[in-house]
Amino acid sequence: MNTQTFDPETISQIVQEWQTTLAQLMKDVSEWIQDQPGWSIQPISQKQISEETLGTYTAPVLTIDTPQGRLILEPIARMVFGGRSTVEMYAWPTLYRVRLIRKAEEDDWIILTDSGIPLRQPWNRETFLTLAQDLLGAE
Amino acid sequence: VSDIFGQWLRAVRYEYEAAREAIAYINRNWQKYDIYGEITEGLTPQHFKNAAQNLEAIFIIRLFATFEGILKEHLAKSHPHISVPEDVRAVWLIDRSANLQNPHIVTPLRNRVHDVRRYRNFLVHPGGVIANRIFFQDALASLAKFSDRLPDPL
Repeated sequence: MNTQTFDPETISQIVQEWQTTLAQLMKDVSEWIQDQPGWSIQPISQKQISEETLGTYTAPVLTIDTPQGRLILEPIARMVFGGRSTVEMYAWPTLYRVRLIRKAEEDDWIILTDSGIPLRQPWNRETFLTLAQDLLGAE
Repeated sequence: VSDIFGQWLRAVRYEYEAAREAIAYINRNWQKYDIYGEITEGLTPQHFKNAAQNLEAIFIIRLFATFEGILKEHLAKSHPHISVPEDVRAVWLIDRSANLQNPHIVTPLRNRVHDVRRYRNFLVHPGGVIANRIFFQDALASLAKFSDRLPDPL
């Protein structure tokens, strides 16, 4: 399989845009949970991501503690097959999960279940809170 | 609570997904591209269809093997005074690990892990006792939840 190659300037630009997108995602979610009783956010941690086309860079990981358990938003990769970026949203410790997918040419997140079927719900506060409850409540 | 053990189990899910996607890609594109030209002699599309059908079972066995490794690692690192036989049975590892926690790991969670163990046994020994089917994700959830009750290895 061929791997796409970029010059260093393009790589830097793609990584910066991706990090900005992630920072906005984490900020949005942090605001959405503010009025949820008993929910709190741990200090945002950084993870290292290594991608064949982009090299190694850092990305934020958001950890939310709730009375029902812990929820984590973790970026996985910017350059997924089909030009899509991926963030996982999962409950800890059960690891029940959805994926947030963002196509390069689009400006919104698509929610993908584990079976690969899109939820076709807009990514907003209401959807996030519903998903969070469902993931945390799954047995 | 263990973060490390959860990540061990999570890694198996990625292996499963990578294998599933690779086989699905071959099955989708066997005719479309010159895939048969790159595949080892003797393998046919039917072999890949069979692999796809059995993949979840294969990875449930792999997942449970990782879980057994977690329990052994936990006993070796957190309870080094306990002697673990080389050919120890999974049922012993689960119950021993559950009883050693303070407070003990509750029975409903322990039972769910035993359900996964029974299903794994059924997959490994098809002629044996029939067990209820468990999907990979649900097996993962039960084993990860149990592992989360163990401390990280020292």
